[in-house]
Amino acid sequence: MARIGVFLCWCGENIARTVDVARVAELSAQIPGVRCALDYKYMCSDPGQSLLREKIVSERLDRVVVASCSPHMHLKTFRKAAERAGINPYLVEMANIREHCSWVHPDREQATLKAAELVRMSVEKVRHNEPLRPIKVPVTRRALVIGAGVAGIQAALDIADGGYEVVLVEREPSIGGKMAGLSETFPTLDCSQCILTPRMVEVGQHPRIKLYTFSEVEAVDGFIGNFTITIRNKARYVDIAKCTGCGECWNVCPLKKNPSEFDYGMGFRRAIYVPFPQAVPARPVIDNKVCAKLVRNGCGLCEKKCPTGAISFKDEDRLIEEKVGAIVVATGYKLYSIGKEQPSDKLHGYGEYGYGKYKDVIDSLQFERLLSASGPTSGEVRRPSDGAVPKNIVFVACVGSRDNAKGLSYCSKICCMYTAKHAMLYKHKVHDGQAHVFYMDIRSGGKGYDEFVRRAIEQDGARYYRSRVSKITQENGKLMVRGADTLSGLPVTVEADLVVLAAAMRPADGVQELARKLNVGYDEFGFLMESHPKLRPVETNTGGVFICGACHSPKDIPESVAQASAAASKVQLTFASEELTREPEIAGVNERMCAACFRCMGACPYHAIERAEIHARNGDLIKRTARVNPGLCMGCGTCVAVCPSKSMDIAGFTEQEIYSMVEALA
Amino acid sequence: MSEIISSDNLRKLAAEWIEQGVRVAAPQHAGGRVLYLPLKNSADLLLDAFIHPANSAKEFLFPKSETLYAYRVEGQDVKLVEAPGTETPQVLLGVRPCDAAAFPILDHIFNWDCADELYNRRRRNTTIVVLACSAHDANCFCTSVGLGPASERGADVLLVPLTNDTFEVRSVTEKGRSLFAGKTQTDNVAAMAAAGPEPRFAPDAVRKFSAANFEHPIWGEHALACVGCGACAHTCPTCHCFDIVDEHGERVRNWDSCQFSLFTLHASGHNPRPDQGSRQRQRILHKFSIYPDKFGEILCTGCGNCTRNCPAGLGVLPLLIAIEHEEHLPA
Amino acid sequence: MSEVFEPRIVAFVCNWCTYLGADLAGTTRLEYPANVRIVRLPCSGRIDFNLLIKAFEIGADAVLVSGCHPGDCHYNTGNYHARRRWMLFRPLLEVLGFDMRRLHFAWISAAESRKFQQTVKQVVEETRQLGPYQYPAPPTDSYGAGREPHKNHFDAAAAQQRAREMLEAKEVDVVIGYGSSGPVFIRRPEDVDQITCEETGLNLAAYLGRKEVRAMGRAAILTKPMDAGALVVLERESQIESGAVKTIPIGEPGKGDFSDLDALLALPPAERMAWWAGEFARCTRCYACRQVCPMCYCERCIADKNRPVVIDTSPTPVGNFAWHVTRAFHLAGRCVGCGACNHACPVGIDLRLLNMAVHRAVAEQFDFNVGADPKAESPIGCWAPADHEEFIR
Repeated sequence: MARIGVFLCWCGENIARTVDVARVAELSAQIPGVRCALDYKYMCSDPGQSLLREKIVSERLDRVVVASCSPHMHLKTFRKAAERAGINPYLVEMANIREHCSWVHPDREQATLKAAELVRMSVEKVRHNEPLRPIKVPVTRRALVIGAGVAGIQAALDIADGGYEVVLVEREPSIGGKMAGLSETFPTLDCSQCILTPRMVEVGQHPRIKLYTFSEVEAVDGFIGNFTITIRNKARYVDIAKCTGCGECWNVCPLKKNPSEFDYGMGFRRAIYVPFPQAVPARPVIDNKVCAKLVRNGCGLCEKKCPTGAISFKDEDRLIEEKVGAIVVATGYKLYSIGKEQPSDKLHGYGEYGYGKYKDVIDSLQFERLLSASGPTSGEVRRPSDGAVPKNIVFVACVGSRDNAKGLSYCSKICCMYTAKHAMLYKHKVHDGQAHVFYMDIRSGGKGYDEFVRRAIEQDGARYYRSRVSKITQENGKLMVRGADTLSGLPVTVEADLVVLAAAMRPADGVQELARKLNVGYDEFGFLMESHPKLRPVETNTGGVFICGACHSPKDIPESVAQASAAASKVQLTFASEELTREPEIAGVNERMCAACFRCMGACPYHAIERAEIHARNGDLIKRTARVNPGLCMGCGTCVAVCPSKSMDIAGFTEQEIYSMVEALA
Repeated sequence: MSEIISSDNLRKLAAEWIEQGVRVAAPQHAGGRVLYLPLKNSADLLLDAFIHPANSAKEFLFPKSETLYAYRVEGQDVKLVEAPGTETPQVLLGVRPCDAAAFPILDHIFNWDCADELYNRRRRNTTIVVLACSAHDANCFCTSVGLGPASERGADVLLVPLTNDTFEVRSVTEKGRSLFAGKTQTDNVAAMAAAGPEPRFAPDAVRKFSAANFEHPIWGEHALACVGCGACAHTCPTCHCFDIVDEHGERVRNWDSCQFSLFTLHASGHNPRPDQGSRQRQRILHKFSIYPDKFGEILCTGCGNCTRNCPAGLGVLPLLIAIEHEEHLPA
Repeated sequence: MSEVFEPRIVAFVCNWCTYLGADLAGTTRLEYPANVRIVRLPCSGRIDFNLLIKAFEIGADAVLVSGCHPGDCHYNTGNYHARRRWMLFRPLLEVLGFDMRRLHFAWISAAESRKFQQTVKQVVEETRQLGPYQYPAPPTDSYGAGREPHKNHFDAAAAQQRAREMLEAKEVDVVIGYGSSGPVFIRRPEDVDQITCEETGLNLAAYLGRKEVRAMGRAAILTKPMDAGALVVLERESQIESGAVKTIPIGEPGKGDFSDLDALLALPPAERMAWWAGEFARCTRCYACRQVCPMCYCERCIADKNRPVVIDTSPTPVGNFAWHVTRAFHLAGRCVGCGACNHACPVGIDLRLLNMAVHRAVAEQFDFNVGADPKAESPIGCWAPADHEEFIR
């Protein structure tokens, strides 16, 4: 028989005014198993807690119900008090006779009877409570950062500077991401490379950052604190340890006319190349789709020329395993492909804008390269078709964004700002030129942002038309951009020399596959899902996996950096001790009874349930069962509700405990 | 001389009983089949050549769920409250001889070691009017277990069809005689009971075989298709196993079945009857060996309900025939 | 003057929104009737339908279920899962004639103390009008009509031929077929004439999980038109491997017929409830319906567990109601409509009507074909943002 103590609080007059506390004590004392039921003016006060502890000892109580305020207020207080007297804290329950009773029911008789029933419910629950111990999960204090754009770089540096090792994986041959290719950045117009490259060098030289470029995450196993990552290090054909980056190899490579990925096809590179001069690592890579040696066993000049013997055409992809305790995803974005039919996305593209058809219709990242001092035109604005300086330039905003019919319903957020910047930088470079901007709305929320747009209009004379562009055609060597200005109500046609389309931002390719490996959710557009939009913005539903930057939603550099630092600080929090301590009120499986239908797996918001097998000593499979990973389970209990045989249960809210509460009302 | 009643008068009589507050249970059409059910309208009473109802008449003496007593927690004490029980008189009308033959067995079961007052009170207030069979189906085997279409065992009154709408009333007990006193006409014709089914097996052969062949493969083979439900036991006139549970402050006795896997499951997790084969064997052994050894009669009245109601078409008869076949094989 | 009826309301609420909303109602002293008893659970996703049934069993006159608004769930999606389940549970209660005015759903956030107050007030007032909840006593003198057991006859020759081929080619080790008195397990080609297809009420997929049958090796089963869907569900639920079980189809597919269900639904709810009370009164809890169902493969059925007693084991009106609701709801999105349960019921309860009600809700609300694609996600165990919730306050 249980030895339950019931402690009733007056909360001064707060409870005692409407609830006859002494009578509730009397009624509670009659419940089987209740050894003592007493009331006190303030249970949460020091003397109240002392009383609780004394009675636990003197009455040899093994379970306690405190009837007072909300458990959200004082459950922890009383659990601690009971623990000091030697009772497992999870054998303490509360009955909320203040918020749910005395404060809301003025009738003394009714409130008293209800209070007595609430106590009875808690007594019946606590009778079945089981002692629980906090769950400890060991932590590998080492982080993986996926993606080395500005967000990934920031996160990696923050974590590494915090004293923890970081494995940084980048898909491209160099780190730097999209930002490395930008010209100047709004709203301050500081040069993108000037601010980013020092950070890139820092990453390359950091003693605690292990950098894998030209690599991808192949597989993810494990859970918070204990991930095992398989990384695919793609064949580069250049041993970056031996290579000094002298440049002999690419200087002799005869294949010069390969469109440069870094320049978005606006410039060219060799078959062996460093993507851009400031690349980290500043080591070349061989394009195996182009290289004559690799394609048809010809050439091979670079290998002969290399002074350190770093080039090997026999190089192959390597799989590397790394153990980490937390993961930051910073895979960034790509631009919406404007001209293409995109059947897989159910997006139609904007064929009427002539992108891909007219050489002088380009997208915004291409224009960034035209503006960049290190770009294919050394920073002179010269149009692709004939290298002429465009005198009339049209910028079209919202290409693919905010378009339910053909594009994506969301706002890409940064286009208004960079379009203003483009107009401004163009004017700074082509003084007699005229920038025209076709826009839907101007969204310039941010520090100094609206002022920046105003400057583009007022100081740099950009002409803004509140208009969607209906069609772009080429007539007599000019690009005819047609729209209708919705402010003046008049049709507009601009004869342009160059058109720049501000294409929507989309999650980078392959992010969904990665998300599935990580058990992270993503929305209908493929952006990764945060755990809570307000309160857990960089966490995901998978413990130990954090997100930052444009893989989460369109965002600009300052926001990406802020989010990256936030994710880094969450990682460091995870690493704060060698073991993670987690609440024990989580789900568990009665593996003997589990029928292995795995309906629970679909219901678990945290992917905390795994398929497991039970084997006999000789290795024979006895049965399959679901198993809860205590490192991931958050204790919502949705799995319990879908388990037909209730082989799943949740500690602290077991079936037995809940049904006992309900039956106490009979 | 014999007593005669017409079917019209029998219906009128049933209506009178209902009027008087007597609970009359009788075969009727329901659920797409014939079932013994409490009779509301005497016109619903089936008197023609129907086959055995899908349920058994035992549920009117040994209900599928019965409160033994209630309990109440008062302070630190528990107070017991006796179940009220019922003194309502009831007439089981049109019961098949194979159902009626089970009542003496139940009487014995509920009294051999201690007297079950709830059962006995209901039994005292019950009169059993048996209707002799004028038809049988392939599942019937009363003649194999020593009974027949006009068996009087367990009956207070036996009605034997005389013509299409008249019955000879043969009173077996005083209780039966008083029930029909003054309600019949006398005549000097005597009804001839219809012929029963040909005997299908000899119970003794089954008894011998099952006592000697506990590990015989026949048990497992026959039980392959058994789904492990309790349809056979719950519709059997003689099956009487029950389970006792506490629910909502009452101690309740419910029908159980040896065919359920939980029936013999130990708290340790061990189950001495781990498969349907061993459960089916238990059922046969109990009916044809264990019970006869102990009490001298077979625990089966040949009604065929187990086969009729088996979702997989099994029941005891095919197994009994197979067993007899095995027993007669040369060693 | 007669006393005002004071209903008992049991509220199952989540810990993070509605419980806190009720706390705030207290802090801001918003008065409401004292009839409500709150049971705190971690999340609305945890609130199982059996809890609601239990609440009515112990004397609740109405039940309130409440959790975080969509998008606010402390556990992200627990409330979406809850909503999805209620979407299917309600049609089941409807066909049973359960008085839906006694079951209330609400999203109440931690800030919505006033909504909590108003909701409780409304629920109490509405329930006062309705009077006490009573499970209708089964009519002692009239019983439900039930249904004729389905009898199907099929041509056995083709099935025998196919079985012989499979056994001869050693494609399978056993063919489970229909014999003259129930299922037969054919292991040798020369025995195929035992397949006579006379008694075909069962769905032979129910035997696949049996230890004895597994020990026989690779199996083929005869399948009536609706039966084969069970293999899809079993594969979806990891009970069999893809393609591991061969089928020998018999019979021509018929058309889905919901006319019996519609006829029942045409009755007023109270009459439906009384009709079912009469049907369930015949139930003896022999569990033939469960035992023949290919989908009922739990190691230990919830009806056979007693810590706690979720479903009364007694074949009483209350216990039988809980059992049949549970059986039908556990088949939500899983029942393939083979009708084996109807065939098996010795007392002729038309159990298929319950399955059909849920089945139709699954098909209509989620465009889900239970027996089509083993890779398709079960409609229970997932959710969609667009799931309707007009029944939630």
